Amino acid sequence: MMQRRNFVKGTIAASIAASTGLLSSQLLAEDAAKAAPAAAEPEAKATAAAEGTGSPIFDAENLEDALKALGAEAAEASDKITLIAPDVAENGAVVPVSIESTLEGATQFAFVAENNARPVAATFDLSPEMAGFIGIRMRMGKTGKVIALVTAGDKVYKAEKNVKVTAGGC
Amino acid sequence: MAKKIKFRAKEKGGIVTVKAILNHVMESGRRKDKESGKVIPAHYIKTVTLKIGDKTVLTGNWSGSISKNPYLSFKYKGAKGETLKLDWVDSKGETATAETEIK
Repeated sequence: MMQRRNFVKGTIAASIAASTGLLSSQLLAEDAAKAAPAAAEPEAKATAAAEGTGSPIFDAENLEDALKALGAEAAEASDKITLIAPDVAENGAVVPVSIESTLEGATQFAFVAENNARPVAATFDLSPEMAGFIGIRMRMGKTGKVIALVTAGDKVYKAEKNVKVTAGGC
Repeated sequence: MAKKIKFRAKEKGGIVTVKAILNHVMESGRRKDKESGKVIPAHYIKTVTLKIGDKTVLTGNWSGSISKNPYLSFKYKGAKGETLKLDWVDSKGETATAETEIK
């Protein structure tokens, strides 16, 4: 009797071992299959981004690169720019932000959020008819500075405001 | 589909104030589906153009960091009675257009 029991136990154990072995190899294969498209995705994203904007501005993944892409590393703070943003944003998915500028000959406005995965939210190309006001609603992932950049002539000017985000929206 | 663009322009003292809400999902491409764990592909408005006749007043280049159903307002020097046209193109190549008379 004992012998039979041991034998049964043994075979069961062996079959379990075999099947889990099989299973794990199957899982591995599945994982590999999953990983492949995941690896392909960022590429697709990158090309998609390149198509529309054709610029590294929106692909920049940190503030430094973003400012470089915008040519705004040496942006001067200006009191002619007013950045209107809330002190505390309860919902990071919808943060109303507007730029008001009295700078002469402004040609571009840009909205940048310091701590977003992709800091540049939007840029606007202005015609001379524009009266220096643009408002949008943007997403913010984390508490941080919102930077308004205004290009006028050959120079870039900026205004900043710290916005506290209580629920991220990225 | 619901009307894609709500759009209004009002003139006062030579300055036209424009307010627009564009209905769009604005997927940033970074969000994950809670059930499947897969990344929801990016789908957002990339370019917004505002024109009077053939003249471009404002071009907006947007990213996925703009909120869902984006709101845009701006001011420019213009006059009553003109027609302002708004176009957008998104990352999938879809487009929408709306026109409004400046009041």
